[in-house]
Amino acid sequence: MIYFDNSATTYPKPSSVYAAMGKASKYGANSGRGAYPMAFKTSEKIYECREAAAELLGFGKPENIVFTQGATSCLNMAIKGELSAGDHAVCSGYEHNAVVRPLNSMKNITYTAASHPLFDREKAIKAVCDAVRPDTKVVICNHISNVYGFILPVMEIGRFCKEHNITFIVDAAQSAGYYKYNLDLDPIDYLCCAGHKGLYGLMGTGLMVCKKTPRNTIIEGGTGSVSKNTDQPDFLPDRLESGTLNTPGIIALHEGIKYVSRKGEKSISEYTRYLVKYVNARLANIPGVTTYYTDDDSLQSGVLSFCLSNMNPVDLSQLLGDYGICVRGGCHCAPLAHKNGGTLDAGTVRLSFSGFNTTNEAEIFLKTMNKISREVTSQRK
Amino acid sequence: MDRCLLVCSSVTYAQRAKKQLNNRNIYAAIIKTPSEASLDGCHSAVSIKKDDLARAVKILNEMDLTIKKVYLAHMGEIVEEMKV
Repeated sequence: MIYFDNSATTYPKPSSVYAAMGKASKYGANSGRGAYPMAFKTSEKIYECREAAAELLGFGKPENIVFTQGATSCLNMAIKGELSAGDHAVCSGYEHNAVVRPLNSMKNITYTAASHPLFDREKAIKAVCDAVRPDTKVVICNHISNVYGFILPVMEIGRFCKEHNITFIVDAAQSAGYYKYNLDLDPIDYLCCAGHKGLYGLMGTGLMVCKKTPRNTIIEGGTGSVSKNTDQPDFLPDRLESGTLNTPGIIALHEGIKYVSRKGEKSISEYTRYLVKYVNARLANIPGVTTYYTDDDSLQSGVLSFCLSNMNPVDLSQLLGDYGICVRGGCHCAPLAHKNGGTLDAGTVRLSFSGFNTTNEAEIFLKTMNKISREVTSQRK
Repeated sequence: MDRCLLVCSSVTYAQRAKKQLNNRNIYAAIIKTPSEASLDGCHSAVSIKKDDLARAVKILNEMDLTIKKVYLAHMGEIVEEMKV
């Protein structure tokens, strides 16, 4: 099997991540609750992961790292935590439904989705900043589009938000583990990360770096702290971490983070970008194929979308699956991105690479695509 | 032996305090705050030697790590709240 669906979740994980799953049984107590050694050891293990994440992301306050179920949970917590009735929000034109659906669900707020073309940095900055109004409280921006790998200018937009006292939320589902953050300085208020993608943790894990404490919460409950108080704690991480944490997942995530720290985000992103260039150079020449690609390394990551004329992307992805090649076809839960990129009708087929993919796998994929293209062309004749 | 209990908001703050103090050669252990010192419910505390208190408080203040209360404890029993 060849796995090119790493934007959905990375596979395989480093062997240390799988090994950690086995060792997690030693930490079977509930963190922050009991007063016995296993409970304290579990708390310590969880804290070690917070600390490793903080170090990776260049952030000096491990206690402001919140563990979640994934980037979607983070985005819901940040968006609904910061917006109140009557507020206005702005988002980029390349947002995932993890941003757009929470915004749509809030009937007492308004929002503007900026419209801007693919792989154009300056127009992205202008469109997002121009959409800001006097009543705008929050701007949300995807750092790397899950559809096209388009790297959005989040630092420039973040600086604009700082100057205008607007909360800036970044969807880092596709960028954490690929981009070297320095969050003590970066103009980002909430960084929403998946644990199971570029950080190589298990599915069902995520983390959010919070420079602010959100006004509203979407889940309340026990935290093992200030238990006599029936109000949700006002301090992080407890404000956003009600109920039992996913300790096995967090222990495994710690190993994923260590793997990324050892390899380095730059080296992983350069390698996956190299694979995109390698594939695109030949894929784009196959009859009927259109790729969504730019030569500019500052604008595209290790993700490549493409279409084959006269074949629906979902059907093509299924056919590739029959050949043992795992890709994703369709709209990738990001209709807004497809609308701006001009592929909303049928979507695209997406290749998303990880540090574990090889050029040999890329060769097999290219040969398969050549074969499929010939078959489709001959059927048409 | 007399110990000082530094009461933290949550186990996460206690873990951070413990780690920072241990890194600076102050032996610190986490305990669940005894009920008479638990303020508004469950808390975690960092237990240190009384002699290390002034240095520990200075280190934690420098890190902007808030300590809710400090208690003097003898043989595991709270003796008094300490002003720091």
